[in-house]
Amino acid sequence: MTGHHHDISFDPERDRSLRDKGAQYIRASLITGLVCLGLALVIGLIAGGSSQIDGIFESSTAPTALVGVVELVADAENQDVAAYEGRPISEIAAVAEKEFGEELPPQWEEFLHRSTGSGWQRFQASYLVAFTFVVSLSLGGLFFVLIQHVTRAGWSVVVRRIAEIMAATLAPLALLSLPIIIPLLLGGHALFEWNNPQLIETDELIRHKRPYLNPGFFTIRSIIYFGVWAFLGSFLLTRSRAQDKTGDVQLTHSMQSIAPVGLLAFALTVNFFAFDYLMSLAPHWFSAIYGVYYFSGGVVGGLAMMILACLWLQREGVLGDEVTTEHYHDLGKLLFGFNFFWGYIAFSQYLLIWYANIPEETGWFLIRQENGWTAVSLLLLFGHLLIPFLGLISRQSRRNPKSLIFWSCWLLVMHWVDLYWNVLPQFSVSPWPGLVDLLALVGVCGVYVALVLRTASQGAWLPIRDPRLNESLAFHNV
Amino acid sequence: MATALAAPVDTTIEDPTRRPPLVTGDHDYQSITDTIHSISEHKTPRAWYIAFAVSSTATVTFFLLIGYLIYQGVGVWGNNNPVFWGWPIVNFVFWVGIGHAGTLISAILFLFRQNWRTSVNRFAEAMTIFAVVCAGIFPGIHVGRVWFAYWLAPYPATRLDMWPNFRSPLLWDVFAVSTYATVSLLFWYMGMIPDLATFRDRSKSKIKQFVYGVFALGWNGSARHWHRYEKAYMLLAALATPLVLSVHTVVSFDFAVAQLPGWHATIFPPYFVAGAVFSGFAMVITLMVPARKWFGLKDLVTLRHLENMCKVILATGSMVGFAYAIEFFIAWYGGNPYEGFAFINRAFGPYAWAYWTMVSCNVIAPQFFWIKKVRTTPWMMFIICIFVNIGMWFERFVITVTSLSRDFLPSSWAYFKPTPIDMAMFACSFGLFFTLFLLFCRYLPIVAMAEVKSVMPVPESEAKNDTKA
Amino acid sequence: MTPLSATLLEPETTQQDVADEPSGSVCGVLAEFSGPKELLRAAEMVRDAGYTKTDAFSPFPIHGMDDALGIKSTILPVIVLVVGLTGCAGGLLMQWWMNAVDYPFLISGKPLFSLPANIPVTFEIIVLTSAFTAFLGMLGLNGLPKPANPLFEQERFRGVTDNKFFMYVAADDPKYDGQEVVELFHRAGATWVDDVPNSTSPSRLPGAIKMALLVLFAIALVPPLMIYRARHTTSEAPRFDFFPDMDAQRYRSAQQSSDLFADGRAMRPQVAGTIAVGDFHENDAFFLGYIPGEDDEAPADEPAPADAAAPAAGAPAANEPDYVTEFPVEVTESLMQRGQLKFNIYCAPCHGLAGQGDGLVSLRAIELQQPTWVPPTNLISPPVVAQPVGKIYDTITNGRRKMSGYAAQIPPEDRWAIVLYVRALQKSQHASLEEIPEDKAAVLKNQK
Repeated sequence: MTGHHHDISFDPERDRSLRDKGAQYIRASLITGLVCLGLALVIGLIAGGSSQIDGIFESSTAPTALVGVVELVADAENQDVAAYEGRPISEIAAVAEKEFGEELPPQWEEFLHRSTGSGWQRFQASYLVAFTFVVSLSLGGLFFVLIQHVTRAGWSVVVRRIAEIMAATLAPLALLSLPIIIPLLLGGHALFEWNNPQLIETDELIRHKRPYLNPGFFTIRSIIYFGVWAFLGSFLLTRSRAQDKTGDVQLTHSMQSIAPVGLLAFALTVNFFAFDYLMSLAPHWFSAIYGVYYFSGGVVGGLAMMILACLWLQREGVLGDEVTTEHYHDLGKLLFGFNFFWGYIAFSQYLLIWYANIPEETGWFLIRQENGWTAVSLLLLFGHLLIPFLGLISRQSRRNPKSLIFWSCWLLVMHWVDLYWNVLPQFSVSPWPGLVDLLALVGVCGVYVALVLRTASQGAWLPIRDPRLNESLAFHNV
Repeated sequence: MATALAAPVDTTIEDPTRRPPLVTGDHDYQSITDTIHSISEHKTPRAWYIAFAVSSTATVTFFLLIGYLIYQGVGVWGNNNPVFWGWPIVNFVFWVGIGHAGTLISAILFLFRQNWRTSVNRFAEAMTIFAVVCAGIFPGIHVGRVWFAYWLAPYPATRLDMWPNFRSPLLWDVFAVSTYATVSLLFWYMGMIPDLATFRDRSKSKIKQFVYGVFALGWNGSARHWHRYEKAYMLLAALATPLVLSVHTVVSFDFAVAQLPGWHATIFPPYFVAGAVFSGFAMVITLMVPARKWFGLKDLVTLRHLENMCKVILATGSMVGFAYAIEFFIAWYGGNPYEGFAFINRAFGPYAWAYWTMVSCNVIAPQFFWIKKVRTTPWMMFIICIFVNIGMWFERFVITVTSLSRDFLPSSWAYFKPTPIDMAMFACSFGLFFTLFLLFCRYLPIVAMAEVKSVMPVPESEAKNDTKA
Repeated sequence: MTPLSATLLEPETTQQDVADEPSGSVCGVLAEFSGPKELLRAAEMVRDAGYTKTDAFSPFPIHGMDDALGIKSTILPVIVLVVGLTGCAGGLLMQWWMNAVDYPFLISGKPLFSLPANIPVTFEIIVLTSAFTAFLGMLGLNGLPKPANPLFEQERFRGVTDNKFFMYVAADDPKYDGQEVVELFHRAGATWVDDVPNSTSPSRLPGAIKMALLVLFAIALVPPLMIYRARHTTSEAPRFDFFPDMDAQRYRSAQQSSDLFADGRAMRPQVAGTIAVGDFHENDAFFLGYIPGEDDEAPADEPAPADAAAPAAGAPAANEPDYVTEFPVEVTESLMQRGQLKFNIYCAPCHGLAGQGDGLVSLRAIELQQPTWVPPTNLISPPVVAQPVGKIYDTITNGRRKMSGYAAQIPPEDRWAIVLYVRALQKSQHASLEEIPEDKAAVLKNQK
């Protein structure tokens, strides 16, 4: 093991060609991203979000509020319920409002909110899914770097730079939160119901939460979150890059000493970020574990992205044979482990709410269990937890690049489905993703990839003079 | 690399360019064996006899108290309306929590290739098993009619042909704790087989040779055996890792599936697990600091080992503090007046003294581990870990008692008071724990010799070759 | 430090030693090496020389030894996975069968088989079965426990669990040639080489130990046999309580004496001139269901005791009280509904929802062949139909035969409501077509 020295060859010609290629990639993904986002907005605004009544009397999972109100209206107008098939829900709502007013069932209001939102609302929701998705990937990267420093890990040095770049991207990612924060500051409440002035008047719970859930404090908190992450991410990346030039061991010390404090700050900010951006979408609902839930999904996504990035960089020739099967094996183990951890957290949250069966909590799961959302819930159970669990359980599948690519892509998709399932049921009765969702995802991811590549283009892809690099190069799984 | 042998080495110095040795001093394979084996081979020291006399007296008292409890009924405890889960359940959760460090060190750190675990894992595993033994007794005697405890097993009880209710978290607890005890025992024993063989081959007395021989199962260090052994060990570690999570998770379900304010929080599972690891590591240090001194293990359990454990305590202690904060925040954020009251009551109600004891012991005390001097000075970490042990007992007391004593119905509020029997039983359960522990220290290999040998800085032969060359 | 020099430095083995041994009693050749790296190199040489029945021995696992010896990867993980999945299926099946099929449990409104709540136990069963498989599988595949081994008779071999490293080639290897193996070992740098003679000590258990085990086993059988006997025989001896189990409680039974009161009685007589709250029964027909005769004083607190020797119902005997035949309450639709509710709660478990004596409790008791079970009366049968309402009321109040009285559970109004409902049930089974309302009768006719 001793005397294993590795020369990182440096070829300026090759380096320049890679740089040019990188710049092309940045341009391409940035343009794609912005175009897709624009398209998503346009399509969202044109298509609108209003949905129709489709076969609700045949389906056993149709929303009970809708069935009840349609029956009421049909009774009042002396018509058969079948006559309402295909009519827009907003029309029914208007009739119901006129006929019954205050007597409508309490869930009706909430249902209406979810089913007749505007196209702007849909776009915002889809954008939020994509935004929290890319942020979680970078948070996964940041967590990885912090943990490696806290544990003084040696094996991971060759893959750490990728995670560092992902983490440092959190600084420009703050800009992507503006499309969420600005409408909020302007008094919009398409996304966050708690900012609805009417509800603030009438809803006691929302009024109770007002000191916390208000646009001003929300913005301040967002600045704190992204400030902490941007600081940690760029601190770690700049130190690590400085070491590429000087090889100064002191830099390792400084990264290691900030890591524990960084983890503490990370835990707090990620937790409340999840509370603010995702949990408060259902302003009445609360779950203390929600931050951990978002965190665990993010680590799965971040690891999957690291594996894919690593393999892609090797194929592109940017990374050489420094990253071996042994490192992929370890990343695969972490992916497997954290995916199981996600399942554990998700199950804990579900079981406790299901078992105690308190209406103030179960409502959140209830709308995810009717009108087709059940299928998405089951997709998560099988697709996010059980199938990848069996897929990644064997040693071979974690050492084989092809299978790792497959499972990483799979889990990235599932992580997006997870966030989609967390956000969209608040806004849509139908579980099907529309063009808006996909365009918003591609758009935000395009911008994200461009930001990552731009961050990466300023230095090497490997901490070439890390004191533990040799240990990592010689690393072998026992 | 051979220079690493030069003693003494300060293993706590941070130097990223090289790894500190896991074993210090001028040790070779044989001297490791000698160090560990001599503990059981030498004449029993007088201090051991004294300690054993004290702890076994306490154990006997413990069993007498249990007999008294069975004879008199649960009225001898302070459990009464509305606090029917008093000290026995607090003690149970306390002991189960302590029993988490062993398997964590053995399994999770094994999977994470933290080689420093090899010196302390045997010790921690033993602690785990003895703590789980103590833990298992409390719910057992808490069921009231102890002689029907076997109804908890899937057995068609009495003439009704009834099965246990598998949807009750209390039954999950039975399965979780008994599975945990069994698997920990398997893990501990399997890890000990090669070392028992060492004892078999080195013991002088025929009786010892026979007894160790029986339990060593004919182990002969064959490479083919080692191959399957390592695979089985890895599998057990991989199984024990989710198991260790599941045990305290299930314990947290006991509380959290209920609708009682202060109990029903979705953060409970990970928060309980973090707390369990926290208390378990504190107990390992509490035992390890004196043991490494008395048994001369300073070269095997170096300061760096202790420092690492202190870091784990700091990390899990912060997690616990984090969970306390989130609980409070959600109690306010949820807007449920009962939930809000439960937490105000915890901090400022009649049990405020317990609450603030808990906070200062669990959240504030471990913060001293940010200071390197504290992390590397055995007596200081010993004191802090004692505080952590106390704090974690109070955490369970706060959760169990404050919520029950003041729930939805103010007319049935009452202040819980333990009886002397409660206190004596808890105190004497330490006797049982230490009795088992003293026996372990006396007769079994307290450090995993085979594992330590495999992570030694310089193999003996290499050193020899160097001198020959 | 070539292998050759190592051999020369430690010439402990002489060629003669090997040659002297009769080949039949040799089970292999054992060589000692100075450290893990030397052992690894030797293992590679032995493997390359084509030997297969080989083994290396070391105090700890040596990284790379599997390749050096050519050890194939063990199938233990596959076995564990299979057993774990079986445990998963078995655990789920067990919970489903026990709680949803064999004895359905309805707990806190959850479905009988509620998967989320079944996950924790299933998980524990998976871990338990897998862990046992990993451990026992490791022992089984390794052929352990194996108390006797020819290698153990080599005094030197004892160091293998301390600091010694050995290599072994078995005599039953197809390529085995004692001389060649010894030379190979020397070339590989062995510090000591010797033949391993076949074990001379008997490998079977000594008879004494066998005998002792047998006796132990026999003794262990005694308690279960005693329990079995105790559970399947009857005894005249009074029950012996290990645990009192609240059988004997410190309260006084009726008619017992007590030192507490001056009159020495445990029961307290009613204070003269008072009536306990709720015991003032003005209307006998309503409260008793019969009009007490002149001769017996109507006791205020204790209605007439159940007639132990009640004659067959339907044939009013001379000594029967004067049961009322008309309802002493106003018969209304809401009373009927109240009666149905209370009947279904209190009566239906034994008498069945239609009153035909086929309630679930009765069915279960019959299924379990409970010898003392008396099937409940069919309330639709003619003898009961013939009973006056007062008698049915009295039966509910005081019980009849094995049925106990329900006076404590059901207030008088509800008892009358039940009587009314019983009458309705009887009518429902014996109604003529004319008695059925027009529209309902039409439905019936259509069915025919």
